[in-house]
Amino acid sequence: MKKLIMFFAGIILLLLTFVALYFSGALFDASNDRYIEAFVFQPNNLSTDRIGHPVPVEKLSDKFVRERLIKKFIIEYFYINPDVENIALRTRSDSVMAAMSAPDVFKDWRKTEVKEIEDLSGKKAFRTVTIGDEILKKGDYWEVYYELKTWHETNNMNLTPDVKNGIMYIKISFEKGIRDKRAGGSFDIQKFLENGGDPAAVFKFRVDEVRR
Amino acid sequence: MDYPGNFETPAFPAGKRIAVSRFMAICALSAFLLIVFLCGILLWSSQSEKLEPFMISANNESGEWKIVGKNSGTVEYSINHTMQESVVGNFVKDWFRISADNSENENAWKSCERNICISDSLTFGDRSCAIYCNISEDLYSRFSYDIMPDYIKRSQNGETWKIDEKSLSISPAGKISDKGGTWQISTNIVSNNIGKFTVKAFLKVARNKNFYPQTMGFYVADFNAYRID
Repeated sequence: MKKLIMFFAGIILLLLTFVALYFSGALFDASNDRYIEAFVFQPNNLSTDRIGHPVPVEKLSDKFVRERLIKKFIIEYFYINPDVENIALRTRSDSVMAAMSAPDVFKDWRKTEVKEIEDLSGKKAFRTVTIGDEILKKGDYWEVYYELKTWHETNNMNLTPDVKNGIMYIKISFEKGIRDKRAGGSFDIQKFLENGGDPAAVFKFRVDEVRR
Repeated sequence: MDYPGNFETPAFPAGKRIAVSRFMAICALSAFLLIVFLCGILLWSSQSEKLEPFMISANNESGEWKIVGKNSGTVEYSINHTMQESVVGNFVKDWFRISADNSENENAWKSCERNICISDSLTFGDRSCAIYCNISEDLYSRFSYDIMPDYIKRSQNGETWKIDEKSLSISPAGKISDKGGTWQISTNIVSNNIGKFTVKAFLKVARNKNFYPQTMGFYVADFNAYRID
């Protein structure tokens, strides 16, 4: 009788093992479950927004990342659109411009450029910024050629923009990689990006000085 | 007992079988626990190493960097987002349209009663009040004073405009909420006089469910366009 009980106990133990295996397998499958939801792209020409082959940041060269961040900084420095709320967001102390600049650079920018940007945006002007292809290092500074096109009037299809060319010399601190700290505290990149933070603010890039 | 002549003599005859069955029971239990442990480890490892790549798209013109993709596996747009995009797309087509048929132009550009916009008298494809029914009073006043005289002049000179729909690109210029937001568009306009030219525009979409129920309340509150080339 005792042997029979032991035998059934063994069988139950074996069954329990298989049940545990089954549930673990099911959970494992569930963790990798993916659903495909059908959606239709509108027939727009999105080629300017379409990304190419995605490449991880680690595989990009220093030059590639640095040049794009420099371009981003210069565009952010001058760009104007006719949306005053957008300008207000861009000039705040938690903006991407503040994240990419040393405190003195950000303060100077607010003193010199922001007033003009706000004025023109209020008057519904629009300004585009085009950066020259070559960004060369001259001593401690990076030399950046730029072209500003400003439309001072809105909804006038006969208007040609004012064109202004210039050179900016910027001194930067750049280290390849993603920030792990921001403003002295810890920095949760995932949360930052999911809340709509500008991706340019996550790189270890800072402009220490601007000369024009 | 033959001690010390025979050391093999068991003190208890069933001792060996009991020892073997105990040993087997301990082995089975260990194997059971090991399997359960390995299942736990497998599950934990599959969950712990989870990559969350963000794909970044940089707009060379506006300097805007944005997340265009995440490995969430799904792309979702709310109905409010889609409706705003539809309002923007349809409005841009009407705003940049100068027809060869002058009566069609007059019909599209005229001011109407708000009630007409939501009545059944406007059928699908009918461009009557096309501008007025989709914009604020303030923007319509700007349209009638600043834009319409130029359009009328062009129309009288036999010029026609039409947007090249394949070139129309619509994207948010900031945060889009259920109350509206700012959108930017880029498109080519085909003119029979001056050929094709590119336009960039910013539209502020706002919401008022009482006045614009035909578009779930969304309407264009501000429109600023610039000829790029």
